Order: sequence, then structure tokens, then C-alpha cells
Amino acid sequence: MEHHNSNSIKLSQRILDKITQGEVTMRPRWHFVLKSGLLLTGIALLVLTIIFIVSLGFFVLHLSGVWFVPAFGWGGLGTFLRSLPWLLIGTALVFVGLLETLVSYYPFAYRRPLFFSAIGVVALVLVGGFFLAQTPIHRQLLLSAERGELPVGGDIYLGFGGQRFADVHRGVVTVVADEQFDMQTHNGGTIHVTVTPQTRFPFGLALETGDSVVVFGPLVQDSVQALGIGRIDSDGIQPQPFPYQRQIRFFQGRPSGPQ
Amino acid sequence: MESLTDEAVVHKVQEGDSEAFGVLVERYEQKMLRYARKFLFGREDAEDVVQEVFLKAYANIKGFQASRRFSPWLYRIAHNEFLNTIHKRARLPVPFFDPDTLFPHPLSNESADRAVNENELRAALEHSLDKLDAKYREPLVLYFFEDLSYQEIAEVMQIPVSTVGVRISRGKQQLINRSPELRSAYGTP
Repeated sequence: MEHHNSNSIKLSQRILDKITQGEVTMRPRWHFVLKSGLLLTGIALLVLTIIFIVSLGFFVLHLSGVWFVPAFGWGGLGTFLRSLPWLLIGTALVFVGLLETLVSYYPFAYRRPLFFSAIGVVALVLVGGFFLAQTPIHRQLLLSAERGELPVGGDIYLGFGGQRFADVHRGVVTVVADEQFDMQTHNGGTIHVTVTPQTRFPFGLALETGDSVVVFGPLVQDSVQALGIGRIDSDGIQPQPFPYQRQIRFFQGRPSGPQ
Repeated sequence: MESLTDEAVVHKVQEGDSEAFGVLVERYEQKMLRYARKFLFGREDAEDVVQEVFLKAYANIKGFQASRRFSPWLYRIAHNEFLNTIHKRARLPVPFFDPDTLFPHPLSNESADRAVNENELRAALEHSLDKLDAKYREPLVLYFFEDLSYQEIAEVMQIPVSTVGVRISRGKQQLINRSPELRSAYGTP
């Protein structure tokens, strides 16, 4: 067959010629199976990575006490927004964009507006991240990092775990006195906390030594005039309401105390 | 062979009957050439690009799932190949992200005015393709010249059906705004 003037040959014949001459061959079925397997693996790894990053963000917020400060009013909410781990949030958003790109190869994603799949992805990673943050995994990894036993990612934990914010302080109550108490922070320092009539106690106030607390207020030298005080569990996961009997004793002893 | 559906012919090709692929080429050759000429503005190398489309279809034919229709699958390969051609020669910008795909849109009703004004619109489209925004051109070509449904266009372009409706509607509006005949046919000032 003459090929000098390929335009004069029918397109179908030209294509069949290329096929029979072996210029183009069919890709084997395993090629497509492998490709879709790699895509699925990539999506699964990305989802797990994003959930881990989001859960680390939740953990950092709990560890620093920032998670609880919105309960102390507008000032607390402002501090909360300023203290969010924006680096982690930015990293998670980049990965979410990557995940959206991979997911968009599937009809269930591209058949609907991007808005819906983005909402679905964000909801999935927020819920997944929140529940993962409730497990001891990050606390154990932080402890390992502090002991120098974490070969990979130790610096990340030490960096985020060691973060302290100007107006948010976490510690354990060591001394309780009238209108003030002392608390020991994670790094071993002591902060003197003064209670004023403007101090908010969204979770009640009947402190005893040994309680874990988060205190909201500006630190001047080693003292804080508290704008808000909350008792939390020792893991910093959630607020701890004071036992009813302890509240009764507290208010019987301080009839004109702030509340 | 002529009585077999596209999907049945594809099955034969997948089983190793390469000659059967010629039947598919003959069935879609003219459609692909027309699509390429409209998409690529009557470029002289449209035939070469279409040949590349068919060769890619052949190379990837084992990835075609029997549960789907062959026509949108082939148009999808053509869509990608044409975009690559445009991108390589940098004649037109290829948008990375389209905000039209972000939020849901209500589907516009096409049936009422389509029957009455389709011929005028098709003629206007034929002469004004190069004046349309790139993102409106392709769905209009697929809808008016290739007779694909909104769902099929959505599969080819991998965008939501509602976005196809929005693009066709806006593309038509651009055409109407540029054509006095269409403006009077559609009763717009």
C-alpha cells in the first residue's frame, strides 16, 4: 500500500494500518486496574493524612487551652481566632484541594457542583479529625517526642506542643486563697491568678488544689488578672463541671463572691 | 458487523479483533472531524488530531467499561486531545478552574424555544464560533451539531449537568446579542 500521500487514504485505513504495523498497541487490562488502584490508594492516603493533620490541630488547641476560651465571651473568641494553628489549617486545605482533584475523576464527584463534594470532604475530615483527637495517640506521640524517642515528626510535636499563647494559660492548681490561686504550668513555671468581679466562670468556680484549669487573661510577669477561668480534665479534652457538693461548699463560704 | 451496537463492536475489539475497530472509526469519523473543525476553528491538521483521537481510543479500549456508552467515552478522549492541541500551540487559554462548576444552578428549559429557533441559532453559531468565549463554544457545538444531550455533554466535559445548562444558555445569549436576526427571532430588544 502506498503511503506517500497519506491524505488520499481513508482515515480508517490509515488507522488500521498503524494498528497492524504495531505502531499502536492496546494497553493491557492490568494497566487500568493498576491505575485505578493507585488512584484509590492515593485518595485513601490523602484522607488519612488530612484527618491526622486536622486531629493534630484539635489536639494543639486542647493542649494550649485555646479550645476553651470562646466560652469566656467575645474577647475569648477573638483570642481563639488569632490562636488557631493556621499553618496546620493551610496545610490541610492544600491537601483538601489535592483530594478534590483526585476525587474529581469519579462521576459521583464531577456530576455534582464542586461545592457539594468540598462540603462532603471538609465534613468528613473535621469529624474524623475531631474523633481522632479524642484518642490518646497525639498525647503519646508528644510524650515520645519530649523523651526524644520519636524519630520522625518529633520536631512537629515539640513545636506545636510547646506553643503558648499570650492570653491563654493552662496548668494545675497548687494553692487556693481568697480571690486568687496559684497554678503550675506544663513547663514547671508558676502563675499567680487573681479573680476579679469581671472574671467569667462558664463552667462554675469551686477550685481545689490538683484541678486542671485554663485561665484567660494577659500575663504580666508571672501574674494574670483573670478574664475567664475554666476547670478542664487533665487531658485537656473537655470542660469539667464542678461536683455539686463542692459548689455548695464554695458558695456557702463566699456568699458575695463573683459569679 | 454493521448491525452490532458500538458497545458490541468494542467488545470484539477488546477480544482481539482489531479489524472491528475500523467499523467504529467509520461510524464516528465524520462526527469527530466536524467536532474537531468547530473546536479547533477549521484547522488544516484537524484530520491528524482526529487520527490521534482514534489511536488513543484504540490504545485505551481495554479500559472502556461495558456498562457505559461508547459515544461519550470517545467524545471525552476527543475533548482531552483537542484541549491538549490548543494548549500546546497556545492559541487559546485553557482555564484551570471554572467558578460555574462550584455552585449548583437551576436547569434552564430548552424545549420551548429550541424547535422554533434552532435553525437560526445553528446558522448563527456556524458563523460566530470564533467570537464566543471558549468555555461556551464546546457545549454549544456538542449540543447543536453533535446532538448530544445535556447528560452526555456533562460526561464528555466532566462537569455537572446544571453547569452544561448554564454554559449553553449563556453561549446562546452571547450569540443572540451579536446577531440582529436572532435578537428579533428571540424577541429581545
